[in-house]
Amino acid sequence: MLAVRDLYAGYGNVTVLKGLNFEVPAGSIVALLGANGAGKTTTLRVISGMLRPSRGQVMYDGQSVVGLPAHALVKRGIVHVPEGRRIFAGLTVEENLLLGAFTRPWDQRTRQSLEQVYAYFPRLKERRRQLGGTLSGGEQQMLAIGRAFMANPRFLLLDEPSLGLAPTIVNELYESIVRLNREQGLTILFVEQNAALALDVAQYAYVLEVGSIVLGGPSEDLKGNEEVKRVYLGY
Amino acid sequence: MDQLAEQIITGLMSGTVYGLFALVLVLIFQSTNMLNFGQGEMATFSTYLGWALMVLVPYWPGFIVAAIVAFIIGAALQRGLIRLVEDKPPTSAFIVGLGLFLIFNSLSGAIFGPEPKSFEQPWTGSPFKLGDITIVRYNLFIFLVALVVMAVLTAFMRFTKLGIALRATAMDRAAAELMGIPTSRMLMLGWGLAAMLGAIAAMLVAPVIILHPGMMFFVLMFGFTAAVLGGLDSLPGAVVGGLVIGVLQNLVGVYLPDVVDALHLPFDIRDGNQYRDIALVVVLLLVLMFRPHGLFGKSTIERK
Repeated sequence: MLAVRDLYAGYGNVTVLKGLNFEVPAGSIVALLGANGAGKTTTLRVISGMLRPSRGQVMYDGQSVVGLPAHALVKRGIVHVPEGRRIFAGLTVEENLLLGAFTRPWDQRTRQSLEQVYAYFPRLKERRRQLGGTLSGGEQQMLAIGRAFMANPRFLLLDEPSLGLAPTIVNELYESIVRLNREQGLTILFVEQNAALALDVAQYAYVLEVGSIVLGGPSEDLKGNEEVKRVYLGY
Repeated sequence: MDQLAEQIITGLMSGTVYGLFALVLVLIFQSTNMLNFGQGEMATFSTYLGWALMVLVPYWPGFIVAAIVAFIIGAALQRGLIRLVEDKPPTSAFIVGLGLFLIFNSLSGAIFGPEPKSFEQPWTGSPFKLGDITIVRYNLFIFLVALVVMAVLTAFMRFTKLGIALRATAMDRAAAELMGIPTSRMLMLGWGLAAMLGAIAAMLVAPVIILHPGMMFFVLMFGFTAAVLGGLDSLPGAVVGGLVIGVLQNLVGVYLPDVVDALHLPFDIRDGNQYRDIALVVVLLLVLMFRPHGLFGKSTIERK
C-alpha cells in the first residue's frame, strides 16, 4: 500500500532522514522503532504531507504523493494522529470528532461512523459534550484516534500513542488499535518507544538509526534478533 | 435614578458597537496572531463605499453590498499580503498592520476627500419613551442590528461545519490541516469575516460620529480596550468587554465632571470626553496589571 523510496528530509540545514527505504503492506500493522532523534516522527510527517522531503518518493497505491498538502492527503485516506495528540482543547469531544470527518459530508453515514467511534471508546460517548481539554491523557488519545477514524481512513499513522499514559490504559489503547486493524481493515503504521509492546502488536517492524533503516522484517524475527534484544528490548 | 438608567442604556447601546469591533480584533488575533491596527481604516474605507452606493440605491442594498465588498477586500488582503508574513516574527505582522492603517486612511482621503460627510441614518423619528427614560431611536437601531449580527456569527461559529473548522484552525493550525481542513482558505475566510463585521460596525456608527477618514480611530481604541478586558482569545469576552466599556464611558463622561468640580481641583477640564479617554487608559492599565488574560481569556502558559 505504501512504499518509501530513498527518502531525504530535514529542517533547515539539518538532514534527519538520509535515504530511507521501507514498505507497508495493505492491511498490516507496522511499527517504526528507534532512539530519540532517529527520524521516526519526521518519517510520519513526510508521509502525511506535513513536511516536504528534499529527495525521494512516497508511493501510495502506486502513485507519488510527495508535494501534496496534508489536507489533500486526508481525502485520499491517509490520516495522521500526531505526537502529543493535538486535541482541540476549546472544542467539545463531539466537535473534535466531527472535524475528523471534515472531508466528508456530515450526513447519515458520518453519524454511523460517530456511533462506531463511541462503540470502540464508550468513555468518549459519556463525555461528548465536554471540552476536549478537560479529558485525561488516555481519553485524549482515544479522542485523537477516534477523530482520525472519522475521516474514513485507509491508512492510519500513529505517533507514539502511548506517550505519557499509564500501563493499563496503554494496553486498552492497543487492543482498540488492533481491533481497528482487524475489523475495519485499516492499515496502520505506528511509532512506539516501547519496543517489546510494539513487536507484540505489529506484524512487521523497522528499526531506524540516524535517518536510515538498519533492520526490518516480521516482528517475530526481530524479537529473536540479538542486536534488537540488546539495544531495544533490554535483555 | 432615571438619568442613571438612561445613561446605562445608552452606554449598552454604544457598547454593542465596541463589542462588535472587539470581536473583529479577536477574530484576527486568534487566527493570525496579529493585532491589526489597520482594521479601523479598512472599515472606514468600506463605509465610504457604502456612502457612495447609498447615493444611488436605498440604505439596505447599499449596506449589504458594502459589507460584501469589505469581505472581499479582507479575504484578498489575507491572500495577497498577510500570507507573506505568516511565518515571520510578530513585528512583521504589526508593521503590515500599520501599513494597512496608512494605506486605507490615505485611500479614503484621496478618493472621497477630507471633508466630513453625513451618512444616511435609517429609522429616524421621535425618541422612544420608557416611563421617564428616553431612548434615541437610532441608538436602538444600532443595538438591534449589532445584536442580530452577533447572534448570526455565534450560530455560524457553533453550529456550522465551516464555523467549527474556522475555530479549529485558529486553535491549532497544524492539527486542523491534519483533519483535512484547507487552513489557508480558512484564514482567508476569517479575514473576510473580520473585515465585513468591521465595516458593519463602522456603517452603524458613521451617522453618529460623521463620516471622515479618521473616524474609526476611537472605535478601534475602545474596541481594543474591550478586547483586552474580555481576554484577547475569547469571542464572548469581546462582547462583554464592549458592553462594559460602553457603559463606563457614558457614566464617566456624564458624572465625573461634576465629581471633579465638587473637589475644587486646581485645574479645570470641562469636557466630559477627556475624562472618558482617561478612563479608557485606566481600564487598560488595570487589566494589564491585575488580570493580563482578561475576564474570559485563558490564563494558561503553554510550553512551546
